[in-house]
Amino acid sequence: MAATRPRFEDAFIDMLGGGPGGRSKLAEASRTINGAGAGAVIEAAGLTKQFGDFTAASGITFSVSRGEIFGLLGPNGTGKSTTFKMLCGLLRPTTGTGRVAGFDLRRDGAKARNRLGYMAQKFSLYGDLTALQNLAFFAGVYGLEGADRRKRVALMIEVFDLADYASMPASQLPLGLKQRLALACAVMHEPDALFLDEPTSGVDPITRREFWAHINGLVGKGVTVLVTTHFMDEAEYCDRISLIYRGKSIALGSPDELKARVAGPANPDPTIEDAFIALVERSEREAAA
Amino acid sequence: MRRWLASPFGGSRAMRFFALVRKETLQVMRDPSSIMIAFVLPVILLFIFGYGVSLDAVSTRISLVDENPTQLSKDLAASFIHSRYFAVTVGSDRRQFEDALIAGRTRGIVVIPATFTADFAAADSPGIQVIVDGADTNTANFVQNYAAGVVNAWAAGRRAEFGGAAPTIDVQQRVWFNAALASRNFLVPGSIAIVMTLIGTMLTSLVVAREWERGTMEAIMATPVTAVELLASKVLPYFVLGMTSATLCLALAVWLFGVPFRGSVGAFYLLTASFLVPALGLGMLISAATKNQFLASQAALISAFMPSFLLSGFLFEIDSMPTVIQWLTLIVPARYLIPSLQSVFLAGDVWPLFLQDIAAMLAIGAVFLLGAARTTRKRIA
Repeated sequence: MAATRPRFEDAFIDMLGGGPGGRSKLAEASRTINGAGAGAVIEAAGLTKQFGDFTAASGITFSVSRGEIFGLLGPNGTGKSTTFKMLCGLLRPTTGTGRVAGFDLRRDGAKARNRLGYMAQKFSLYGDLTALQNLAFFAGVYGLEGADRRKRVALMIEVFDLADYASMPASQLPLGLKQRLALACAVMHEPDALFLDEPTSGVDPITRREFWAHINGLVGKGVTVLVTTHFMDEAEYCDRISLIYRGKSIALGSPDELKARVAGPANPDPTIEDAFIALVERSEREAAA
Repeated sequence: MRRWLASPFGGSRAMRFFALVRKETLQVMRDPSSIMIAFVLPVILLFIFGYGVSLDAVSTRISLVDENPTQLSKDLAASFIHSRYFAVTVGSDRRQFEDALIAGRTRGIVVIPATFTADFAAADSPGIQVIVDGADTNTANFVQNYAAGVVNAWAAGRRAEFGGAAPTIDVQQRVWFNAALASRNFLVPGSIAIVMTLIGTMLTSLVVAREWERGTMEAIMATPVTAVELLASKVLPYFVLGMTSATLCLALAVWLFGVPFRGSVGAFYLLTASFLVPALGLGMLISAATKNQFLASQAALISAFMPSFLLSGFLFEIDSMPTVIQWLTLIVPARYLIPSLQSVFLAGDVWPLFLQDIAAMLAIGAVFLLGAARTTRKRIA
């Protein structure tokens, strides 16, 4: 792999003494999910959602295989979140099916949801409960009991450095810690698939790096990740990206493929941001034609 | 089989439910408003209905005008003055009390006309005038009827004294069950229904809406928790809270207010528990339908709190309501609790009445709970 040009963020982190170095204690302590090639872990087949006359998402189809990071990219309010929510059971599609770990979200919703971890964009833990109580709650909700539960909760506290904050109400935690706690709750039950909705918006660069270290570590163990983001550099971390615009997937491929599609004499080495803008404009022109 | 692959049904379902109940209980205990409503509000309400509000006919302020004082008219005036139902101010001209009547400082003006003594001697039918403020019909009726009562009693006594025909029928009133006619004795049991409404419906109407507002509903929806489990986990802690509060109410009613308790404690709890079913069901239904705490509290106020006060027979007799309103009361759960609860306190265990009321409350409760489960499931879709 060729060394990439350092960005401003890299310099910033370097001055702060570097990030956590890409090691994830979480991943090291996690099980390895075997069965590579056992088919797609997350599948969207013709997902369409209509709110009255408005079509928020139409015919979204893709499949994410084990250990892959799949990104949903797109401007706000164009169907990115709708697609995401249909795939983790928060919205019922008007037509089409979504599957997680082989379970149809409509028919076997509870089973599918038991195999996925979800981290909302907005803080969605119980602010009036302590960090520890939140962890215990999610462990219980996912059916962990007894020694298993205690072990898992203790691991989360250790991995995410929550020991000093365990008895603090979650609403009073600093933002970075809130995000850590939310991730801890989402991976509590060692899910096959991890759904992250704008996981690092508003988080400082160091926490963001740490976050991606965990995600990459988990992916190394076979966890499949679906992530929405509007950080273009974050999109680079994805194995594949679906560009969602006006409720449709207008491009699907690896970041390099997408960049190659828009490379031309004017811009021989486009960034993912350039690709994004060019592809959206192309789709606009096609719609107008 | 690996633990994390365990089916979401069976053992892990119990685990899940336990976690939900535990979380809800922690939240109830951490929320000062639920503790206030469950334990402080009942005390305040019982004090208001035990001491402050009295529907008893004692010492209503009236004015008495004796236009032409004679031996006879003074005797009648004395009957008013000595009546325990009236606090009397005496004057000689009705005009001096007009302002007081309008301002509400006096509830009625009893006028013994100048011709009273002559009329009484001649026709044996003493006419007196009672002027009341019709804006407050209850009090107006009360003053009218009691004034007539005082005059009749007095007239009967006079006739007997003067050797006239003594009244042939001597009506002896006897009041059953609430011999002291203390309104406190039926207001206190009634206010227990109000407290249960507050806990069962007002508090719970907020809890699901709160999860929507704070975004925690999303996190829950992405877990294997089902709509029914979520609702059940919320109902349970509030049911316990309601029963604890009912115990507090019972203790205050009996030991502090001295309300008689002639029924059995078992019947009391059975009735209260049955009432909590529709109360909690309505709270859940509102909560699931609104997604917004402000809206939820307004809906709870209008659909539960007001009917419990006004359409339950608590303050106003259902039999004297217009027919359409009487029909409307049939779906007000408090209407079935209040008569039974008053019986438990004042009369004793009247099982035919209790069972009928319990059946009605459970039926209404079942409808509300089913509606709540359906609505929540739909919302999640």
